Amino acid sequence: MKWLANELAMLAGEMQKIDIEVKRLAARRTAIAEKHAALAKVAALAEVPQLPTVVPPVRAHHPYGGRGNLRNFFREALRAAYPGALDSRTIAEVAVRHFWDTFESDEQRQYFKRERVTHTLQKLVRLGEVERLHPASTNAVGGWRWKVDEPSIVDLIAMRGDLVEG
Amino acid sequence: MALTMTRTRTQTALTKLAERVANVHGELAYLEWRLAASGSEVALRERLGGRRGELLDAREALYITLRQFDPALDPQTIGTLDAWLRPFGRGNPAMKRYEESLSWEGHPRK
Repeated sequence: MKWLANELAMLAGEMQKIDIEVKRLAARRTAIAEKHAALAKVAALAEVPQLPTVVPPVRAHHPYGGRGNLRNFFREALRAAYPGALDSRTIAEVAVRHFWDTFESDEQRQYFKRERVTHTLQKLVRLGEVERLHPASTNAVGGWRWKVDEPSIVDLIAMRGDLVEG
Repeated sequence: MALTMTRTRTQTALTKLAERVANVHGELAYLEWRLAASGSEVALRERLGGRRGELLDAREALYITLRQFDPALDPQTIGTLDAWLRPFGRGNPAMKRYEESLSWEGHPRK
């Protein structure tokens, strides 16, 4: 009986999640359909009224609203936090809220948090724009900081040592 | 952000859209003035009003399209053009021909 209660609760929760997603997607579809109708009207004004029926649907590649948007979002977040740092979890939460509408399912959101966030931060490290504050081979929550072209405290101490020796 | 690929989001496309908006703005401005000046000519007012309704729909569609092209654009700031009147000639005779061309539903006859 306990198992049955658990399963019922779990299935009810799944249905609730699906209902929320369906509602969100329906609203998104309505907004897109309005835009499509407007563009079709402009096609008719341009004397090509058949255009909406002859162009095939394409799966346009526009993750996160446009090329480089995710990376730019992280750049801005880390720049704003400087000289402080941000941890992976905080960045992921903020990014998920910001790009909420771009995810089609909860699975996509989880994938984004698990994979895309770290991948993008690592890319920014490789580009020399961000510094990693944790060892690369650790499972702990990572820390990330905007990298500025200024000597760090370690560099300053080393420089002081050079001056004393000189 | 537009779904269109970057290579199709050209200056030419933007110019054509902006020209179309400017012509709709121009024609609407003329109709507003003409409606205000038409007094009690019921038949004419109906024809002008019909065309005005069509143009308001077209303007809305063009605004949405321009924002799809670039959300940062403000289509309301686009000025007016009078190229819409060119097929009817020049000056007062052109305006007369334009008004005569409006059918009862408001479509200008070609």
